[in-house]
Amino acid sequence: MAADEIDIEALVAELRSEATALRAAADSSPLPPLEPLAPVADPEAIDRLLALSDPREAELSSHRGRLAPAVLAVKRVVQRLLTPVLDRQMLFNQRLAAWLGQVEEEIDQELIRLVRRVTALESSLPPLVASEGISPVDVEDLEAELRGVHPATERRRYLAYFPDAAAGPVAEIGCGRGAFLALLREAGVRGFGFDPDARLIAAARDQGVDARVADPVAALAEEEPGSLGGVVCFRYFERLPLTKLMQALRLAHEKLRPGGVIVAEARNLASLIVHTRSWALDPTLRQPLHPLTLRFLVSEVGFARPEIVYSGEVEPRAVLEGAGAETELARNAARLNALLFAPEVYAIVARK
Amino acid sequence: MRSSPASSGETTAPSAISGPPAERPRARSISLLLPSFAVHDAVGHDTAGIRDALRVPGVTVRIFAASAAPGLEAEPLAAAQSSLERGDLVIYQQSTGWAEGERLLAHASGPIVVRDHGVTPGHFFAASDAALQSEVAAGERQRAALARDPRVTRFLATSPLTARELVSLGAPPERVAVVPPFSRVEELAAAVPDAGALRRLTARPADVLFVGRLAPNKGQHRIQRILSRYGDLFREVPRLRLVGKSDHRHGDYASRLRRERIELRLEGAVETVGEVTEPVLKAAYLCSRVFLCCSLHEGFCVPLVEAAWLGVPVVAAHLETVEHTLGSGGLVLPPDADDDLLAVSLHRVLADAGFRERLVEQQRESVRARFSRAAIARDLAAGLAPLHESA
Repeated sequence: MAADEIDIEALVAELRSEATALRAAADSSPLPPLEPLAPVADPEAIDRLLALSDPREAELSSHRGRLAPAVLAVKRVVQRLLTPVLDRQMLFNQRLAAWLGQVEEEIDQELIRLVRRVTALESSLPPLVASEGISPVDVEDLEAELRGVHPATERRRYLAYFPDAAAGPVAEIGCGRGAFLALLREAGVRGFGFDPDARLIAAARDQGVDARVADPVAALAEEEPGSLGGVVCFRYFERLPLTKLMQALRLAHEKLRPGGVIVAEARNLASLIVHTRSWALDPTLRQPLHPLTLRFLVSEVGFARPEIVYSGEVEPRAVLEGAGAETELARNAARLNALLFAPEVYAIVARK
Repeated sequence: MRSSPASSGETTAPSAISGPPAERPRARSISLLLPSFAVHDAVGHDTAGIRDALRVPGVTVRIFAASAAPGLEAEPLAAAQSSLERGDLVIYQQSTGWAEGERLLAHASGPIVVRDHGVTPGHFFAASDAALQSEVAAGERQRAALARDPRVTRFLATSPLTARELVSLGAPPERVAVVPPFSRVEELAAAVPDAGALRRLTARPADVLFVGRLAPNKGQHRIQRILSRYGDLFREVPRLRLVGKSDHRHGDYASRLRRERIELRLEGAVETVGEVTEPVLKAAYLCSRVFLCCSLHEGFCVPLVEAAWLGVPVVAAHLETVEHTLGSGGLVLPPDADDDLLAVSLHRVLADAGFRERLVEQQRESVRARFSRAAIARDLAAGLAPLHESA
């Protein structure tokens, strides 16, 4: 063996050791199992095309009766004379089919790659159904403790939008313990609600209201189009990803009867104190909804003239004093109050 | 297309047929018989190479084929019978079942030389269409019959393996010689790569290349598996380019490869390119870093020579023919090498530039010394030399 010649035997022994070590390392931290996917395109299509590629395989025939043998003989001669042309045609057909096969495969691969990419992106998001919309703590209780008033009791004012019991039932998205459903019942309006949190639904049922454990958006999709008098949602949309929020708004528009009302309440992020209080209290909130944003989204799905209704005034002891006077300091205090201590809650109210 | 060495005035080994006048056999005409004279086809290239090597002043060499690609010099079979009856030396290209060829050989009154390319065993075609299966079975029968045919004066096997197979089928060992097939490797080396293909392929360069029709015996499925293991072991998957036509007669092999790519999550890592022209093939070799061969059966495997000649290092799973073709220069792994060992070998070639260069140099020397047109012409002359003695 020449000095610089590769010693294959020694090399293979070295590669074997490397393979053993790498195999052990890979087995100790295996990659996720492979998920088989079915091919998208029809794998037989090109084979079928290729099977038709030779024009000489066309059967020669004649309907000339007794002349048929002679006609067929002439046709066979012509076919033979055309051999170079037919060869070329066959070559063209085969190349075309092969090229189509490659294009098909490339498209197939691109499509699968895209599907994979979407799947990977989706799987990188937190689960959407199982725990979506479920808060590990009842933050409204905490908020009640901070503000001295339970948010649910302040929702009585929304009953005014549902004066007519005959206008159809009101569905609540994310009904929690069913406080608003109980208010509706008191007002003689039929209501029902959905919430993914079984613990809260159990509490709601204890109050005797119609509440079900379900993904609220999926449950709304099951309702008859044009069957509802109202759709309400209190501080729940902020827990949904934007795509699902849009789906919920579209469904609300679809399921409401003409004249039906949507009330969508959310934390008012235009009030800076909200960022340090109700927004900061709940770690499950994921979608900040500025009042103007939510109003825009509601109008986007087809509601006419949505309005912003503010509530949840900040307690007077928290705001800057002296804002009522006609001094520069007072005017500045008033500006700061408007920025820092604007109402903590708003609702978008709109009719179909 | 470049002209052949014979016509371009390059050095050619002395022809066994021309030889010194006293040694010439009776035959002044040679008939080469083959079913299909095609471009991009190993048997077609070999036929053209034999013709060029034997065609010298005073000797007529004619090619008779049932079909021929446009532009290739061949005569229809109908014209072959009279030449054979006249006593031409017949060189019969044996690679597949060919009833018409068998019938023609019955008319041969001159010496018969069988050029044997081996027949891929039938079990590789279990999933292929019935016509191909019966063609292969007919090829095996015909090959066995020719091996025992006393009229056959010489057998020119493409590799030691095919030579041994012929002997085991009944061919007298003294009549069997190994003559590698002629190929267009020198033309390929001199060809200008297709500019469009170069642009396209350099945009998505392949780490790994294999050239060969999509068929079970070519082992593309194992190449894909090795790529997947490479991904497991090294946390990255090299890009693979498979060049070769998909023959619909091989059943769903191309679909199987596609399915397995999806199952192995290799869709983005594998590119299949169908049958290509010489300039595109050149571009494919130039844009690849290693040639991986996992063939399960080969009569010779010309792409190994092309890769080695053009400086693409070859890593190969064990196969006797592959070992013979690559000679002492090849990185052919032992028979017990599993997919992991092949993946690690592949990684070594891809990652170690110094090693790659040494391998390339070693392989190039090995194939250039043995498979240049002149070297094969010398082997051909030696293989046919006994005809002089019997003349």
